[in-house]
Amino acid sequence: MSLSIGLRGQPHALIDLLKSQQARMRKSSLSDRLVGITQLKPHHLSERQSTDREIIASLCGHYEIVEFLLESGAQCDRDTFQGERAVYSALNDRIRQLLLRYDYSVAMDRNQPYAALITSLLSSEVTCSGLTGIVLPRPMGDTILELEKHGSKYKVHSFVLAARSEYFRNSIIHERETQKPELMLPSNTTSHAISCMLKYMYLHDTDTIPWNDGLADPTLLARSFGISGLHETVGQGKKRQQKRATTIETAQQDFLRLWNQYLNIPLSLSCHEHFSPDKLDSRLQSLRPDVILRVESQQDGLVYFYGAHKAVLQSDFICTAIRFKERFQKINANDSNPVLISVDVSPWIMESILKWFYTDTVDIEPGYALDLLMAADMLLSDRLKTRACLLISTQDRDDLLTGDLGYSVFDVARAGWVTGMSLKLDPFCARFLASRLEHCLDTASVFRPQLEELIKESAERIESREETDTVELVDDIRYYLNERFRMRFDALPEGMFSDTEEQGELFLDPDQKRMDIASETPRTNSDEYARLMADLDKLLETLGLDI
Amino acid sequence: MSSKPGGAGRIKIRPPRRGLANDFMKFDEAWGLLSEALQQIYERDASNLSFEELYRTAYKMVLKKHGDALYNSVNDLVKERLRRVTATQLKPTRPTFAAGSSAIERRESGNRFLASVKQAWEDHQLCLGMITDILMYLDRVYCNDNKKPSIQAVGMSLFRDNVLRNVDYDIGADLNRVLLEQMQMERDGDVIDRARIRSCVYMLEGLYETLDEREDQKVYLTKFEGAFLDASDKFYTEEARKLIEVCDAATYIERTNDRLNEEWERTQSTISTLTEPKIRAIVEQRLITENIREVMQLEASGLNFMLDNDRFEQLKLLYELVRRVDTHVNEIRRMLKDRIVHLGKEINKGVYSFRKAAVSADASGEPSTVEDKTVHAETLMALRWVEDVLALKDKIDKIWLCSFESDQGVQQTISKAFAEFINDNRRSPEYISLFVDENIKKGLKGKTEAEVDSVLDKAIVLFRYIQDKDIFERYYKKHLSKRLILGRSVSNDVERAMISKFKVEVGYSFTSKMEGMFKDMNVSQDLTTEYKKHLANLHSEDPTIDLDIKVLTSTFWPWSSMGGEATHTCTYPTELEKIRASFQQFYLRRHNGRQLTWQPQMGTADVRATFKARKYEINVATYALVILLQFNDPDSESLTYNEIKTLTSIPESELIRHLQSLAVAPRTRVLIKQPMSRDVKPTDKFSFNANFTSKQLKFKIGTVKSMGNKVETDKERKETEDKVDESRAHLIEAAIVRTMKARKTLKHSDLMLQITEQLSKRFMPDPGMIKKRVESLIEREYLERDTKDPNTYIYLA
Repeated sequence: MSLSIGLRGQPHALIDLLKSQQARMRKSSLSDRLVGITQLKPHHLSERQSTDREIIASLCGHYEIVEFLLESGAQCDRDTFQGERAVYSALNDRIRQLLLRYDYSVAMDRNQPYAALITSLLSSEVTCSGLTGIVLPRPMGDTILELEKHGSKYKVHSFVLAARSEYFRNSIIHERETQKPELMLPSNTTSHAISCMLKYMYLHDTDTIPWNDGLADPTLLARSFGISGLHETVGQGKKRQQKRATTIETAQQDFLRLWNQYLNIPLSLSCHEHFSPDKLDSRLQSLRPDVILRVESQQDGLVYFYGAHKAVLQSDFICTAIRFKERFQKINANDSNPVLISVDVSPWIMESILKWFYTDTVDIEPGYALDLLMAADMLLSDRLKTRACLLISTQDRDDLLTGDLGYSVFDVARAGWVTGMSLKLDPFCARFLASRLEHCLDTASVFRPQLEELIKESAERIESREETDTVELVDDIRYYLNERFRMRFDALPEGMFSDTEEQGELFLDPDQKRMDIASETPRTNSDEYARLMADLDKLLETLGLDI
Repeated sequence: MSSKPGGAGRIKIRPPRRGLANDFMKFDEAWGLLSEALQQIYERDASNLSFEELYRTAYKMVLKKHGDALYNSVNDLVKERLRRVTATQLKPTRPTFAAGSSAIERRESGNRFLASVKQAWEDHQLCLGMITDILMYLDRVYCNDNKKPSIQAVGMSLFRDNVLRNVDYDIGADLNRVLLEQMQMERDGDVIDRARIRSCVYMLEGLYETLDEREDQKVYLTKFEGAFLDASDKFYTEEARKLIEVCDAATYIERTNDRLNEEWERTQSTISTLTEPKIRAIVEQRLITENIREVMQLEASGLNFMLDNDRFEQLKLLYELVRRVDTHVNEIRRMLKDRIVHLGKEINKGVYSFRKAAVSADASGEPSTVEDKTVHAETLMALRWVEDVLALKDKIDKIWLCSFESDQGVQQTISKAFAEFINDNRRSPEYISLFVDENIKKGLKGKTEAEVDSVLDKAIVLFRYIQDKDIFERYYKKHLSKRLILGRSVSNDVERAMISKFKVEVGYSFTSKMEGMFKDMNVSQDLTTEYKKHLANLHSEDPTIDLDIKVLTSTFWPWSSMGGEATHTCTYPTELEKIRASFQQFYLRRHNGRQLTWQPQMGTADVRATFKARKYEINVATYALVILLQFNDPDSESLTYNEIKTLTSIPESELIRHLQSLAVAPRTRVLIKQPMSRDVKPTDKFSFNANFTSKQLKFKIGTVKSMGNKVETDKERKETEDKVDESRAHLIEAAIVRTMKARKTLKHSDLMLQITEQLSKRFMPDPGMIKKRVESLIEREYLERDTKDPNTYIYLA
C-alpha cells in the first residue's frame, strides 16, 4: 500500500478520495503508516496496489488530512526515514499539537538514528541510509536461531543477542563452539514469541510488536531469556514516547555492558608479530567479528587489533575500505575471516569511536575531543563529527586558552575550518575569545600573536571565497562582546546555532550558566566594553585589516 | 595477551597529536606514492595496495591544501592513460572499411573493434571505481567545497574526450560506423553479438556531453542515435519499396509486423530503450503510413480479398498495424464501407433485375395471373433479400468481433454502410416487414424463446438502418393487421415483444397505433362473449349462427391497405342481416353515438354444406358466403353473374374474385360455371355443384389473391407511396406549425434545419416537400413572409 500525498490542491477533495478508499485501507491498516512529506499526486491514490506498505503524507499545513489519516489508524512510524520526516516537517503548531495528541514526539529524538541502525538489521523496511553515505547491504545475521519444534529459522546477529539477552550471552560466549553457526532454542518457545522477542531486541517500535494476542508472554520471555526491560515496556498506561525512550536506554546499557565486557578486548602485538584472527580473545571470537580494526600506538609502539561488526559501522572510510578490499582485492570473498582495516588513530580514539558505534554514547576526556573530531573527519563519519563538536563547544575553561587542555581555542577554530564544522565551532570560538578578550589583546600577552594569526587566517579564508568584505571571526567576536556587556542571562543569540539539538544542551550546561552569571557583575562598566572594542580595532589596524 | 593501551595513565601522558599544522608534507613525495598506486591499478595489479595508506595520503594532501594539485594531477594521469590505451589498444583494432572486404571479414573486424572498445571501457570503469574509492576524501571535501565536478564525472568526460574523440584517432566515428554496420547485418538476417554491442551502447549512455550530466545530453543521444535513425529511415524506405514490389498483402503485413517486433526487440536487447519510440515511428511511417493504403488496395490479396474470404488473422494484423499510425483506422473504415456497400448493392441488384424481368413478363402475359405469380415469387425474393442482408451482416459482425477488436468507430462505419445500401433499395421497409411477418407466421414455430429473440433482434438491426421509418410503420401495420384479423400470429407474446422492441428503438409514438390494434382485438373478444350472453338471455329463436365480431377503431388500423376505404356494399341474406342488425343494436346500445361500418370483405365464415356425396365443412370469405347462400334456394337452378350482382350488390371486383375462387379454382369448385373458362363474364351462368367431392372433410376456399401478406404490386406500391407522402405532408405541416408557434419568426434555413431534425427519427423529409408545405401554410394564412426579408417567416396567431 503506497499512498503519497503532496497537498497543494484542495485538502477536502483529497479527504474524500481517501475516504472512498477507507474500507480497503482498514483491512490493511495495521501496516499502514503515516510517513514523510513530499508530494501527493492524485494518481498515486490509484496506484495503491504497489508493494510498499506506506502512506506518505505531506503535512505541509494540511491539518484535516493529518487528522483524517491518524483517525484512520495511520501510524507515524519514526523508525523509518519517512516517518521521521513526517514528524519533523509538521510545519505548523496545530499539526504539531495534533501529533502530540496522538502521542508522537515532535522534538528530535537523538536516539532515533541509533535505533534505526539496529532495527535495520532485522527489517528491510527500515532504512538507515541517513547515517552513512556508503550503503553497504545490511549484513545478514551470522547465526541461525533454530526452533526444534517448528523448524522455524531466524538469521540473527550474535552480538545483538549477546548484548540483549543473558540466556544468549551465556550460550554464545560460554557454551557454544565457535565454529557452529546454529543455536538451538528451548522447545517450549513458539515462533511467534521468538519473532516478538527479536523485534524487541532489535529495537522495533514497541507499539508495533504484536504482544497482545496472547501467543507471547513478555514476562515469561523476559525471565527465561534474561532480557532486561522487556516486561516494563509492555505494560499499559505508559506514554508511547516514554516507553520508547526507556527501551532505547535499556538497549544502550545492554550494548555498553557488551562493549565493556566482551568487545573492548583489543589484541596487542608488537609490530613484527603476525596477526591472525584466532589470536583474538575467545570471548570476542565467539561474537563473530567480521571486521578487525588495526591501530598503532605511538606511545608504546604496539599494534592493537579491535574486533568489530560491519553492522554497526558508521564511517564511510571504513565501509569503503571494506568494499575496496572485497571488490577489488578479492579479500574475504569466500572465507569467513574478518576484513582487516588499518586506521590511523590512536588506540583510545579508536576505542571511543567503537564505543560510539555500539552504544551511541561518547564519553572521552575533553582533552581528546579535538582528536576525536579530526578522526571523525578522516573516517567520514558526520554524526560523530557533530557529537565531537558538541563536546568541544561546551567547554569553558581557561586551559583552552593556554592550550594546557591539549589544544587551544585557536586550534579549535582551525579544526572547524578544516573539517567543515565552522558553522558549529566558529561561534563557540568567537564567544570564548570575547569572554577573555582582555587577556588576548594585552600587548604583553602570549595570546596576542596567536589571535593576530587567527584573524589573518580568517581574513584569508574570506578572501579566497570572495563572499564578503568583513572578517567573519572579528564580526563574531564583536557580537559576543556586545552580548557579554549587555549582561543578559539568556545571552544566547537565537539561530546562531543551527542545530536545535545543541541548543538544548547548551542551556543545560552548568559551565555556561556560570559564565553568564559571572558576567553580570561588571554590569555598569561600559567603559571596558568601549576600550576593548577600540583595542580590537587597533589590532586590526596593525594587521592592515581596515574594518 | 590483550591489554588496555596506555593503561590508567593514558590521560596524563598525551601522545603528540598528528594531522594538524605541525605535520609537514611534501606534495611531490605524496603524489609519487599515489601515482604509482594508480599506475598499478591500471596494470591490474591492485592486490598489494594498501587502501588505508593511499586514502590517508590523499586525505592528508587535501588537509594540507594540496587538493587542487592532487585533483589536477589525477585527472592528468587518467587522461594520459586513456590516450595511451587509445593508441596502443584501440588503434590496432580499428576496422578498415576497405571497399573490397567481404561481409564476413567486415563482421569479424567489427567484432574485434567492439571487443577492444568494450574492454577499454570496462577497464576504465573498474579503475575509475578504485580511484574514486581511494580519493573519496578528495571528492567529499575538496570537490564539494570548491564546487568541482566529482572525480567520477571528470573521469567519464576524459574517456569521452580522449578515447571517443581522440584528436588522432576518431574512435567515436569508427564505433558509430561499426555499430550501424552490425545493425544492418542483423536486419539482413545475420547473427550478431548483441551483448557486446549493448555494452558499447551502455558506454555511450553512460557518457554525457557536459559535466553536469543532464539526461538529454547523453553521448548516445547526441552522437549515435541520430545516425542510427537516419540509417534506419533509409533502410525502411527501401524495404517498403521492395516489399510492395514483390509481396502480396498478407506477406506485406506479416513482414511489417515482424520488422516492428524486430526493432522493438533491438531496443530491448541491443541498443537503448530510449530509442524505442523513435525507431518505431520510423518503421510505422515508412512501412505503414506511406504504403498501407496501396497494400490494402491490392486487387488479388488486399482488404477486399481478406473480407471476402474471412481472413480473420490477416485482418486482425492489418487492423493492429493501421491502428498504430491512426487510432481511428480511417483507411480501413473507408475501404470496409465501400466493400460492404458494394456487396449490399450486389444483393439489391438481384432484386432489381428480378423486378425488371417481372415487369416485362407482366407486359406480355395475361395481366392478373402473371401478376399473381410474380407477386408470389417476389415475396420469396424479398425474404431472400432480407436473409442475404442478414448473412452479410453476420459475416461482417464476425470480422468486426474477431479482427477489429470490436472497435466502436468501425462499428459506426459498418452501420453507415448497411444503412446506405439498405436505403438504396426503396422496398427494404416492405421487405423487412415481410420478413418479420413470415417469421412470426411460420418460422418461429418450435423455436426456443432465445432463438425467437435473436431473429427478432436481427430484424430490429435492419430496422435501425431504415431511414424512412414511417414507410416501414405503414407496412408493418398492414401486415400486422392481417395477421391479427386472420389470426395468423403464432403467439401474441412474440408480437408484443416485437412491438416493445420498436418502442425501445423509436419510441411510443411509433407503436401506439399497433398497441391500439392489440387492444381492439382484446376488446372484441370480450364483446363477442358478452354478445353471446346477451343472446342467451334473449332466448333467441335463431341460435344457428355463431357470430365472432371484431370491432376495429378506425384510427388504429391501416384502413386503406385493408381495402376499408372503398365502399363495401353488400345485401346480406336475411339470416345474416338479422344477426347483423341484432349486433348493431346491441353494440350501439352499449356505446351510444358510435358509428359502425361493416367490412364484409375482411370476414370469413364456416359453412356446413351438403353435397350429394356427403357434408363438408367449408371455410369461406364472408362475400363467398353471401354468394353461396343465394344457391340455398332449391328453386333457382342457376344464376347469372348479373343476377348474383343484383341480389348481393357486392362490388364488381370482389364479386369476380369470389366467383373465381368458388367456380374456377380446380379443387374447390363448389359452383359450376358455364361456360367453363377462367374469366368471369356478366353473361356467365353459375349453378350449385351437387357432385362436388373433396378428400378433406374440412377445407378452406381461399380467395384468389388471398389475404396473405405478399409484396405489393407496383400499383399498390404507388398508392402506398402516395399515402406516405400524404401523411408526411401532415407531419411536416404539424412540425412547422409547432416550431413556428414557439419561435414566432424564423429564417428559412433555420426552419429547414429544425424540421429535418425533428422528423429524422421517422423519415428524412425532402426539402422540396417542406417548401411546398410552407407555401401551403402561407396560402392558408398560418404563416407569412417578412416583408423586409423574404427568407424569414412569421407565425400568424
